[in-house]
Amino acid sequence: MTAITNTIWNRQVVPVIDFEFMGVKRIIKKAAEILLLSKLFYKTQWYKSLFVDLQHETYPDNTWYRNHEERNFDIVNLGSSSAKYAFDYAETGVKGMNWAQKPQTLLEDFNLLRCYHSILKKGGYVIITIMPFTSINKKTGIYDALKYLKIDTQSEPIQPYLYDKAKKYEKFPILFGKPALNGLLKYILGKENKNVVDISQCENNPLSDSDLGKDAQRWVDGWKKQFSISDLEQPLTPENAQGREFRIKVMQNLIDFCIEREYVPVYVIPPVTEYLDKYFTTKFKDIYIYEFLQQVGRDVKMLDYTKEKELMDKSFYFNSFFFNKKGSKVFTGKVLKDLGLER
Amino acid sequence: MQPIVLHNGVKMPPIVETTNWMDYPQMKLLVSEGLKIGFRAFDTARDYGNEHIVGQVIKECIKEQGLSRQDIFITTKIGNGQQRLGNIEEQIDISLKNLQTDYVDLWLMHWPYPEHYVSTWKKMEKVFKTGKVKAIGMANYRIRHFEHLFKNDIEIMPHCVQFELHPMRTAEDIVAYCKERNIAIQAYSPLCRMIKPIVESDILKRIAEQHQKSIAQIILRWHIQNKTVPVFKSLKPHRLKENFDIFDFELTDEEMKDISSLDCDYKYHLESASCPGY
Repeated sequence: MTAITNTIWNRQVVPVIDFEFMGVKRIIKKAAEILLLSKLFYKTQWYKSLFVDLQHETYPDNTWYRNHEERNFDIVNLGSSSAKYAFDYAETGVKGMNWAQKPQTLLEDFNLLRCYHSILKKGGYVIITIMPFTSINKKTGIYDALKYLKIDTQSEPIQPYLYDKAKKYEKFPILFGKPALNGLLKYILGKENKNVVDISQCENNPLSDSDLGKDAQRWVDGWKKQFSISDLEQPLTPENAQGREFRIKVMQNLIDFCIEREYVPVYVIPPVTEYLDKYFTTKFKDIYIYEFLQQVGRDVKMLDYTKEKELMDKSFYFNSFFFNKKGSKVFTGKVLKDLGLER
Repeated sequence: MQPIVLHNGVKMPPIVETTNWMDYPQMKLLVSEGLKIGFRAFDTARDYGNEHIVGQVIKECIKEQGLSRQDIFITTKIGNGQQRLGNIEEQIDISLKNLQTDYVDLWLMHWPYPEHYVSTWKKMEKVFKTGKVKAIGMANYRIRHFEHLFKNDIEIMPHCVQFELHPMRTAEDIVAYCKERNIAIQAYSPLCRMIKPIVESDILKRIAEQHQKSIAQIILRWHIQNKTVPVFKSLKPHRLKENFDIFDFELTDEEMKDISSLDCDYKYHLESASCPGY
């Protein structure tokens, strides 16, 4: 009865928007979804793994805030993979959120902050995590744009490059081709891996000394290839120098944004294991980190942990680069203490 | 029930019923009941997706209750999507058609949408001069937004601003800033959604008991005495009646202060989640 009544009322009340056209568009989209098996793809583990925060528990978007009453957070951190594993505010007594992703660029950091900063209290801290290659361009692709599409950003892209294409692929996963079909096949055959072990949750480093050495070498070789660097102690390539110019502007905007809203930006440079640290020479750090921050030219507090030997203990990591559960607790505690937020 | 007089002389009722996200049957019931109780001001927005239902319901209700359009005060808002489009002068015509009226009493910019809000305001000023809207203002502004706007050679001082305001967010700085400039204030989420710290507040419980009123009535009265206009939503007619029954008692200065002491800058609605770059 109610449904019938609603239908009748809705017919009577005609808004001045071209709903007829919108209706046709919606029908075509729905038909395309059905024809392209989209609904089935949406159920696969492969599809779900493309996105961050499907449960709306990481970023305080419109869904989050209606389900949570906590407000006026003390601290949020931005950053890429390393920061994702470095910060854990649970059990600290401090209201904090870890907004880092694996991976995440400085531009994405800034756009996330633009969307969700209102969770912070006046005077709250914004940790800007600086990694060895934060200052130079990372090539972004469709997966980078895609991963933020399930959080509510009010149609403002977190990663604008390839955003429109990513929206299309989100709707019609079959466009991915082989990976999508593989994911679907696994789903249909019941062969999806339901028991994925999160190695970052370990309390000790599972790698041997020899494996840690190899792991560190792998990271360095990967970065050299990714950023076309032949020697880590040589000046930036013209391409990387150009990328830095852009990132200097992004960082300046990010810091100015914080200050205008009365938040306190802080640079935090996390440590790595000694296996990896040996590649980050003083000269390298000068070129890739400190010169960059100097060029940004903003008076920002810096917490640099790259020389803190006790934090480089391999037992705090799950490989040569990322903190494990034990390490993130120790590290977060140290950062909070240094900011005077220890409870 | 004394109206609030905007600085251009327009009279605004001191209490507003909002209609956000309501469908026709719900809204018909609540607006109809609201009018019988004495409500004369109704709030909507393009972003609520039901401006057209508000138009239909109000048209029907005023006819049924022997009222005229002039008896009703309608507030609507222009959303970020329309700010992006930039055709603000056309957008008011769409709102007028949706609302089935010749004029809107108060037209608000919903958000200080970065890169757009100054230009939107200047276009709103032009619309104001046409008489299609009786007053203009904005929602969700902070002082920095006002300051930025005022630096840009605007012609018309806003008549009214709407923002989240309740005992847990007294926003004294914004309230003082607006009062100094004679900008009227509408308070949304005036009861802070009756969240636990409100419902369980000893201060509110004590004052409610002293006056034999509910906590909601005490808070709404606090708004009235502060000259901030509560804009609230209820889906229950009896609640509407209760919330309107606030004009027969007065809070003392001490009680007013005690209620304000609950302030902890608590915003239920996180602004940046609705307006990136806020």
